[in-house]
Amino acid sequence: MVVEAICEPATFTTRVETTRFGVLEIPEADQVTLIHGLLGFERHRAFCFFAHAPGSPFIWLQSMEDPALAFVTVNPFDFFAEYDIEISESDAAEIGLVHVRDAMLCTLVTINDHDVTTNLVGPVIINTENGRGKQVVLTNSPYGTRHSISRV
Amino acid sequence: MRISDAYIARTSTSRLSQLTDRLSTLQTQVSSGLRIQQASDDPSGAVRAAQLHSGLSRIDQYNTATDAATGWVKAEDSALGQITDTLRSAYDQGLQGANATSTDARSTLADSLDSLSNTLVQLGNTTYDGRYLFGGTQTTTPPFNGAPGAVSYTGDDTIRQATVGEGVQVAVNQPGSTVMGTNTQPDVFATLHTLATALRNNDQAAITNGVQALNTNLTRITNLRGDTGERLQQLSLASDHLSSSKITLNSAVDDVEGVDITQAIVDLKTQENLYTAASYVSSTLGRGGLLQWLR
Repeated sequence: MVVEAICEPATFTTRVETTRFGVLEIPEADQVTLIHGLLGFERHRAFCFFAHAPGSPFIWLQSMEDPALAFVTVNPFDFFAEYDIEISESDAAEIGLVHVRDAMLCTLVTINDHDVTTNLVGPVIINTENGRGKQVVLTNSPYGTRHSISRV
Repeated sequence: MRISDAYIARTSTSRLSQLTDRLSTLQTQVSSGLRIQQASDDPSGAVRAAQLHSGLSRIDQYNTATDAATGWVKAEDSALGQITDTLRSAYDQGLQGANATSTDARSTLADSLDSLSNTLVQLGNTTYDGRYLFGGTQTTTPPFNGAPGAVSYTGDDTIRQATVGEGVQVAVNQPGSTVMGTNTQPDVFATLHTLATALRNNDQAAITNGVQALNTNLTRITNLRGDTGERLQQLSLASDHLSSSKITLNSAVDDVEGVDITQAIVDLKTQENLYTAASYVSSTLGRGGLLQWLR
């Protein structure tokens, strides 16, 4: 995959090739490094975010290394206001997360014929300060891998 | 570290993608199964596709030629088999005649040889697909005719070739003159007639020579049959080669032109599902609620 940095006066964007959406220009603020990749995709580190459409709660997590690899995610708080999790200090330290206000969460969405669900027990935590993130698996939480978001 | 809605700050990650365009492209791709709708969609792909298509049509032409040639050569093989059997009968009868003691017996054998000569004329006039096999290029008139002892060949000595691949040709016939030996003396018919005459004349020496001559013809025709078998092999190999070339070209065409249907359908369903889900969610939660969170 060819990634070129195009310099613009205000922001740096990176050209990302995708199989679903063609070639996109992604600003640096929307680029993240998942330090251990995702479960099952440990080798893919560079990802970027973009919304599916204006006003849509769905956010694509697109690999910047593999044009065909992309995941649908949502911000869990859009659907579950009471979502409340605890991550270990070592997890936080791994991504350099000091302040909660710098954290961003996104949870992976599964779409099948009958339902749209999201995985609340394996959220991806991003430190918006440095663009580092990781997927954590919560222990001792009441959440599972499939929480329906098609009927809230 | 505890993370919940109360503590977290909202980060905007709005990046617009041209998804409506993408969706309609996917739908067209899926319904036609082709990635190249117009040459402008993928110009170098279109050129390559055109080259691949012309290669495919050449292969089809070779396939037609190979199939036709195979039909001819198989018919030739079958006819040669029958000619061999007929000659073998004649040879056996000749041997009987050599050992026979009565004039009547020899006379009967001589008549039988005459009748075998007629059979051979008929076999020499075998047709395939309405054309005469053993006339060289004279495929529309029977190459052999005449009563025993007066059989003539009116075909020519040309060997016809079929082009079964790029610069590859296979002969599709043996001229009747080669088969019956009319261009090498003595030919089959002359041999039969000489032997029949010898039997009628009770000429022991001539009978022996006649039987010998029949054997020579038998050997020659057996060798010719070997040649026919080889050509059938060549045609079979050519046909296999064409088949695998076709498969290779077809999958190359598919790579350039085709879209992976499974992938396209998954993509399409995912996009459609997303739109369905998104609009359902919007209507349930209320646009106000969503917009509040997505800033």
